[in-house]
Amino acid sequence: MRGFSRFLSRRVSRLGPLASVLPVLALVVFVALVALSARPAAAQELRLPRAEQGYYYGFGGHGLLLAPVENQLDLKAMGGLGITLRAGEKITDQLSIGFLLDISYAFMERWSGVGGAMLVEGRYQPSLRVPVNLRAALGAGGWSLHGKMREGEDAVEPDGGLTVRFGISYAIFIDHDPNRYQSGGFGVAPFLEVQAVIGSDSLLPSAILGLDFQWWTGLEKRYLDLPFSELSPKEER
Amino acid sequence: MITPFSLIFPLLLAQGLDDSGAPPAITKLPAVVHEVKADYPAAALEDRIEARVELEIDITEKGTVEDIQLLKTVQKIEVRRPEMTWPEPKRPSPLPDYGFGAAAIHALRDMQFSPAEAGGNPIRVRISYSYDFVLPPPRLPQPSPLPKPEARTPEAQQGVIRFHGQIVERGSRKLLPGVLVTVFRGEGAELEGYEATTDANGVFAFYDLADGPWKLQADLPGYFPLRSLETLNPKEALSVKYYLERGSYSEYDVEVRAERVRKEVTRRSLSRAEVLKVPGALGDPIRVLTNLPGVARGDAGGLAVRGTSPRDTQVYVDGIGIPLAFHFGGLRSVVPAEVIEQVDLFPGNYGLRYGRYLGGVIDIQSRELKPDQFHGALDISLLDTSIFLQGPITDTISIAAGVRRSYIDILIENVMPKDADVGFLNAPRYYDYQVLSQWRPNSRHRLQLNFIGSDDIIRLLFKNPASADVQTRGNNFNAAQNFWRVWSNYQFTPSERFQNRLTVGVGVDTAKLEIFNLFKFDLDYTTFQVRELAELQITPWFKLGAGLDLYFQYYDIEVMTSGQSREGETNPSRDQDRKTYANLKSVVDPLVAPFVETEFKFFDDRLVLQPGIRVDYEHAIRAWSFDPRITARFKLSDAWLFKGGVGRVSGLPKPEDTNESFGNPEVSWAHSLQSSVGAEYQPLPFLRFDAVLFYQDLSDLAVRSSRTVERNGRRVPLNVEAIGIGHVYGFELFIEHKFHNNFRGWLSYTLSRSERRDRPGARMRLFDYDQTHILNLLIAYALPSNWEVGFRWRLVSGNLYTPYTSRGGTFEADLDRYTPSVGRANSARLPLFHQLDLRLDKRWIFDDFTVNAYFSLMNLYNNPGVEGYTYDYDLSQRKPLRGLPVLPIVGLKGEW
Repeated sequence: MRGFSRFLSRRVSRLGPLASVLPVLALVVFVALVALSARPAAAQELRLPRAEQGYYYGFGGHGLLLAPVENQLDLKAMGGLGITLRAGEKITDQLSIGFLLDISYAFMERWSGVGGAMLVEGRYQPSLRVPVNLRAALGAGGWSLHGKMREGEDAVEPDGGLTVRFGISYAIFIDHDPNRYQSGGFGVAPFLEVQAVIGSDSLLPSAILGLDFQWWTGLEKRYLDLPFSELSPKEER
Repeated sequence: MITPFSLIFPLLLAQGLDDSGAPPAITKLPAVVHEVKADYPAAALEDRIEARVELEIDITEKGTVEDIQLLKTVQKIEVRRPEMTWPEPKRPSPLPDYGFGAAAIHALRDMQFSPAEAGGNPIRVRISYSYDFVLPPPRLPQPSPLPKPEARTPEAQQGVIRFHGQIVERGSRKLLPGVLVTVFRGEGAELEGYEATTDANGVFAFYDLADGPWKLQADLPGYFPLRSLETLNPKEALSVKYYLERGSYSEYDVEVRAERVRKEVTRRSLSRAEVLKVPGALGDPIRVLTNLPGVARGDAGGLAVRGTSPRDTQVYVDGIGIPLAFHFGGLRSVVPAEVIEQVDLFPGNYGLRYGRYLGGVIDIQSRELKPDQFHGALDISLLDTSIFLQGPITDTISIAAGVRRSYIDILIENVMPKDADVGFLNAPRYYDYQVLSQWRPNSRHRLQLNFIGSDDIIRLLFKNPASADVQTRGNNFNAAQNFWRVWSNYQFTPSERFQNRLTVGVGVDTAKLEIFNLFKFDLDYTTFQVRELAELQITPWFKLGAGLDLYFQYYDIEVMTSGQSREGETNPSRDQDRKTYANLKSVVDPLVAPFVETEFKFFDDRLVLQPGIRVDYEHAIRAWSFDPRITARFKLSDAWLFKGGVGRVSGLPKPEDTNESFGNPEVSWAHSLQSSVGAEYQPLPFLRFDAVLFYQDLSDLAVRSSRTVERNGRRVPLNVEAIGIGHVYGFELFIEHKFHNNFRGWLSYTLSRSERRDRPGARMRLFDYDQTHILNLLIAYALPSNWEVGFRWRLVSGNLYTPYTSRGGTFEADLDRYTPSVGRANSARLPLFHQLDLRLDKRWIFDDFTVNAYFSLMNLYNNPGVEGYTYDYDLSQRKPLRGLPVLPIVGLKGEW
């Protein structure tokens, strides 16, 4: 295990430029997403009803390919599975902000690993006609790699740090009927994402393919541009 | 429908202007007394065009409007909705100027406001004012009259109320006057409708409406429109309560600040709203100041300002000094943001009302209580939980109380293994508490009675002390500190020309510190403070102020030390067999400081000179100090302001420096000649540049002495001599973008050098807290749906340290330890520090309260900053001490 640590320490120096570029890149993307929501924060226009509106809660399963960047031990790419919990809000017709909690497990031959991440996620829908979302997330994450060494000694090496994630998803809303002024609904969204955990001693990139089950709460009627026939009488008296 | 936006919505920005152009702190905003509605341009009405006109206006001391400046007019085509049955007109393209600006200016000239106030005095202010031209519904047919009874009583002359209600702001329960409420039914030729406007209590009423369903729409600029479907049943009157939701609940929206300096060359002020939202500051009113120019990074005990020690910067609350800035660890200050109105930092060349400290001054103003309705806040975070409640007792008396407690101790006690080398007798915990009260019978009198306190404790038991320090033979680390202050503040403003403020406070501090058997410290301290300040405007160009800063202290300090290092020294040898004991006990020790400050204005108030003098007397050392100071400001134009100041500041010697055992009873005041020049440039109402060059010449600093002296017939070590000198010089830049277009941010940069010379002929060395470059970049952006995102990036020179010149130490058998050979004091610097922090806020708006959740990621890209080095037992190997890794913090705050 000491050898593993020494090795990783040496390896880290080679990651320097990459470890710097990725966070900056993530930041630029995140700020760009924010800037794309050019609608003033104080705007109070009513919105037309859509499926992706209000708060969302998502539960997803995914498969992943983890490729730790190091070169002393015989670490190969690992396959694995994971689950993701998401919650957030669509703050304009095109931009969402939320949180993401991910737990994954990966393994290959004598190595295995458990990872997790808590990220802030931004989603941007370029076209209202196509339910495709570009996703970017950043936050903190980590992996704990476990290996059975040839000497018979177990190697355990946890590492974590800044975590960035980019991806794309396509949402399908089965029961949403735009002619019924319906806001929100239930949908499924296959997604493809890449993630990198930039630890203090290693870089842990992974590719993720999965499926999200999403529940969108929709907007309350007071935020929607509805005909009066769709408004119910005020309940408070 | 034409509604002046600022009638109801809080003013986006108000800036008070005294006669010199330098604004005082505003205590009351102007409000509309007489509203004049602008004429809707006929062509715009016909083309169905709406507009927002942004202006800047001056509101005089009498409430009249002067100097109206048109900033921007945004015209927009009416947004079509399904229920709009009228045809869309043909409009010219591009749209011509419909004359909205002229119409708004014309209306504003005739409007009347209640004037803004500063300290009870009406003042002239400049405010940003938005005027919204909102299209009325198309001309509606006259209502079909209800059958009228043949005879009516006088009370019934205006009809029967069939439908009435009240409109309040969602989340805050604020009553909303001036809301246009429209009810209508039918379509086309059958369209029938009526309008009503809410009164000062947010109440509207409709008379003689027919039975059946009615469509209702309520509009107020800046708020989501409210639409509802209501049904009037026969022989019933319908009563409703509606909640209108603001488009944004960003706290920056209601920011009101006096921006420019008043008495000082540099004063940086942060409102409560800014304190709460700055990334990386954890909503703390003192921690946030480390983002401002002139303030060094680090040191959990206080703030190092302009190259001086944290002990040289004093924190005041309403002018009453408090002994601590922070709780243990430096994450939280002892005063929570909920109880403050504003925090001011004076990094140097400060006013004559302050003295006795060579560094800066932090003055926290307690919260201005409003006797309107009950409010409260509950803040839950990973560090602590606090609750704050305020409410009216009568129409003129308000009271508020708050308490906060950390639960780090509970977390640690549950996480710490039972067999760990270190056990907690008392895990670290802190709490603080506050009670504020205010009586304001009229605008001439204001009386405040406030109470704050704080309590910290940590007690560690080392089962294997050598694991902590190879030299240690004890097994205890105990630290406890607590204090309380109670004070009364009476402000009397009989006329516009005279103002008097008297503050009387009393407080007690206790502190105990025990570090193994190396150091013990036990303090009991009592203080009584009086501040009196009277100001008289004798002529329009001359103002005289005089005051008294009176301080009585009594302390009883017991100290045991086996070696005490001073600034610029590495730790001396800790020979535990040679300890020094002392009891530092004072009689009641008065410190008296009368001061006089004047203000002269020349050239149409463009040039303002403020000379004055402060005289300090410290009874314990029986020494006087005379501190003349002068500041000058010259306003070249509306955009440019030049400023400068020079003056002497005297610093009180530390108790340990005047004690016979540790110091020298002959040590007296230390002095600093402070000077600074600078310029401010404000090209846009929301953008400001502020640059300052400063130089401080320090003298009579207490430094270690190896000399001996004959005292009471004995030859004793002198310990300390006041022969040290120092220089601090540098440049500060502050670029501030106030909240505008959803964006708020600032960049602060300090380039400085702080040097000390410990004895005549010695070389200058760098001061412990010298940091050459300090850069802070803050960005906050308000997103729709009440989200806010903010970043802070810091780039700071590494802290100084004294390097070991050889690898490995020399073993000294009599001390049973290795001692290093050290290089020049502070001749090496740790690596450059840089860190990025993120803060994300989301606010949910409920009918009667709001909930704000925040997520903060500190050290976002996990920079492993080096905060120092540790050495192994023979000093042959060193390891860097790393700062905090990426650290997520979440919290929840409810307000009602």
